[in-house]
Amino acid sequence: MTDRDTDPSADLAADLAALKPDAVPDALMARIAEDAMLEQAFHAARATPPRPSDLLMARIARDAKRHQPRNRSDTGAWLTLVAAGVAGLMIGFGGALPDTFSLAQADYDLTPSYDFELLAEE
Amino acid sequence: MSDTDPRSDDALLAAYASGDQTAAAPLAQRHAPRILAMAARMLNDRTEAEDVTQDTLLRLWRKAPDWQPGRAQVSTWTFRVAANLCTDRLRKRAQLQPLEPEQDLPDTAPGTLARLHASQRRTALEDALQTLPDRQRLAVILRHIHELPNPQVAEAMEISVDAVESLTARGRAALARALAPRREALIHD
Repeated sequence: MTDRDTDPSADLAADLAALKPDAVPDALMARIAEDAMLEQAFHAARATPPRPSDLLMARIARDAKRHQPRNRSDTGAWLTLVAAGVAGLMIGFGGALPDTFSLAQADYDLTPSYDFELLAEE
Repeated sequence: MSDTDPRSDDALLAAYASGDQTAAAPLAQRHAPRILAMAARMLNDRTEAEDVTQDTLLRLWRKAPDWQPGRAQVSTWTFRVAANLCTDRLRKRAQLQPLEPEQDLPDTAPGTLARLHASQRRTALEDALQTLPDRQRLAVILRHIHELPNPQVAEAMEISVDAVESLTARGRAALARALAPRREALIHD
């Protein structure tokens, strides 16, 4: 009779021995070490990101001002006022009414231009 | 630099498009640093990264009147635009310059290495990132440094989630190989 036949715990002991840490494959430990190294490096990168300079933020602010749509309600009110004024003049001089649709489509620059300003430092 | 405006990105863009002159600054403060960080790691050139950052936000200002709330996140959209701008610059760079020979990292025995500080870890990582192909580098930067979930990385890169997972897995493996000579020092505090 073998040991296993007389001692049922022999298999169990062998199985438990296989679970000890020194039985972990080298390749797995290498991957764990690599992951630890990478996570440390990623953490360091997240902790110290490059910061935009004041000049860059000023350039961005300038672009935002230049490309911001004009206030639509203000523009509509101005165009209506201009159209009404022109219509009044034409009626007063006995002429035909102007094409108000074309007037509304005209690109009148009735808003003041913005001076370039650097963003204040915070 | 801090952003204390309580409005969402969608609300700020709508306000900007309506002529609210207070809406652009918080948008810039929220998104410029992230875009700059990504572009700097992609291009390894601060000046070019700043140009990409300015370009990206310029496109956002122009997009504002047509922006559809809820269709995309401003963060993901700006990453996508910036990534495409970086890719364009990298392609032009590759056409103008011959390939440089791979630079080996210094080979130092673990037993003689001093502990590396966080800045050295960051520098080692940034050097290693430059050895990756462009799309692997971008995927790793967005996933592991900016910590975007895979679906957002996929949206920013205009690829599938499976493709993102493949790129990040290969990118991590390549980074590990590039950093291997410094491994013992890099895993110490």
